[in-house]
Amino acid sequence: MELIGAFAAALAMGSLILALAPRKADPGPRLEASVRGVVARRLERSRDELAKARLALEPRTYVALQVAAPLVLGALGLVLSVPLAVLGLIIGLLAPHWYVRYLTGLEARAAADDAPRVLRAMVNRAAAGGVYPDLFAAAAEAARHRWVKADFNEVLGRYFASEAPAEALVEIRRRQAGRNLALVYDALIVLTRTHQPVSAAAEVLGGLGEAARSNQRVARSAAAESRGLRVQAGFLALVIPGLFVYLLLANHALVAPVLDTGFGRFVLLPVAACLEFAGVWLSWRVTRMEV
Amino acid sequence: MLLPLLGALATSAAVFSLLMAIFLPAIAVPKRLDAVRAAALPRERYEKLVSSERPWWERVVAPVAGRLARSMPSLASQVNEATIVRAGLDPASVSPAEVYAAKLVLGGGILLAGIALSAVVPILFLVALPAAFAGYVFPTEYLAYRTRKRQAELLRELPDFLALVRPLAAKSGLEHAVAEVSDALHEASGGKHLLAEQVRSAVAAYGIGSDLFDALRDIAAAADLEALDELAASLGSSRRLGKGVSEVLAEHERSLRDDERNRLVGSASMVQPKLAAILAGIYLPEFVLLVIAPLFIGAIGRI
Repeated sequence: MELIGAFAAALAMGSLILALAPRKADPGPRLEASVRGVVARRLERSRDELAKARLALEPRTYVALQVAAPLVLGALGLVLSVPLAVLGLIIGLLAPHWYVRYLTGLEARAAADDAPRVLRAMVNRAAAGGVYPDLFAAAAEAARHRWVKADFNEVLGRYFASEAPAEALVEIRRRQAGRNLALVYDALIVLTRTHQPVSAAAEVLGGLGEAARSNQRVARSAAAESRGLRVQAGFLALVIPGLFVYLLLANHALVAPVLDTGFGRFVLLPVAACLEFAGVWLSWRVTRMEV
Repeated sequence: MLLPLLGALATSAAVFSLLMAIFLPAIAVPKRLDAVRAAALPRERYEKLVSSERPWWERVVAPVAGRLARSMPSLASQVNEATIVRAGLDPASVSPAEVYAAKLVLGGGILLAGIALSAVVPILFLVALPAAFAGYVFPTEYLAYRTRKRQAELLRELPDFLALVRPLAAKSGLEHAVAEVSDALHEASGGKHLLAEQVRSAVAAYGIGSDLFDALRDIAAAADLEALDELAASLGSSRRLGKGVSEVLAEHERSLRDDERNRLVGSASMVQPKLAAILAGIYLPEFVLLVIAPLFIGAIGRI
């Protein structure tokens, strides 16, 4: 059995090294350059994520946080047992990204409500004549959400700084996390790229109004459907750890086998933590009804 | 314990050296400067050049699976080529035989690793069996996941795309509007707009003489997207019959949005049973582990 095991391990390791070998044979980037490439890619991704979330955080700090979180949670898990440390490491790897996504989604949904209002303002302004900056100014004025207002003010500022509107719009479009505002920016990009007059813009944006309202209706139905279910899922996620903590505080002896024995620390607790993590993740996936 | 480990390491070094000696000429990656001459590179050399950009797990499985697939072409019949196309991959780069070989390599590799590690922790052999099965089904499940994700994304993007094309089509013609909107969306999204990317390829086909609607239908067939196929067919027939394109676009946009709402209602109705399944399959075992098991263990200890 040991011989088979050793041979299988050898074969597996040989295959692994062989599979990874092409990169080693590549005379191009060296290890240092590869590491720099990975860091640069992570920084780029972090910059995009932070721009969408409008967080005043340096991408380097965010990357440092992404590295520190698994180490901290892993160390905390290690206090109890190695399996818990592994679980902490995994949760730490995912947590910063998930948290930023959660924040972005929350604000993006609020900002998306402004889309029909902004469209209406732009259509009214276009119907009265004028040029594109007038439409952006009307949109900034009509917007209630701070993100929407700031974005249109930025487009306006860049226009007056002699930047091509299409370029400024493309850059700001990449920050849009909501579907409706992305659609508004897409329309403006198409209009400015194809050099449509403002009168044509009124027609195009007017046509989009119905699409934006329809998207909003669907998004609201989804939010209304998922709100109650999320509360239910959250309750389910909290009740068992809550009960465990209550028993721990009320009568430690009752749950002592989980914390004070090897079987508890190495099997019961890690498996329960894995189940809790899986439960939270699955409930979140199931109740997420975004369209 | 130490001796088998050292033996395993020594054997692995020997196996590695042997395999490298045999296969190194075949797996050598071209120089990065070759990218400049990429147009003149043979396909397999180009694929090797770009292979270093692929994720590590693909690079781990690909060489072994590729070799196995080449030596056993009959494996190709086990996986459908359309499955690979629908997942957004090129069957010339990832062949059906390679996918099936990847299934075998993953399944077999996990089983072998389980057997090897069971020398240290015997119970791992039992864990390795379901893990090997999961490894065996993973490649095809992954393709199916990619297909579903792409279809959902395309279906979500289509009504908004039509909302942009419709007013412009009335002004500058459908083909022109489709080309302009797809270009603008592609640029605006930094190449992440899937539908724009697909439509751009249809526009490119139109540019070299194909019928735009046929090209759109090809895209729909490749992505298994019935809504796009119907749209292309309707636009083609409306063009032949002289019916207004704008009405067809508006009608399809409305129908797509209705479908979206229906899908939402459908998925909402499935949430309660899924939550019940999570309660029964996850939270109940967690309750047993954290509350019932310690009470039980404590009671046995007292006896």
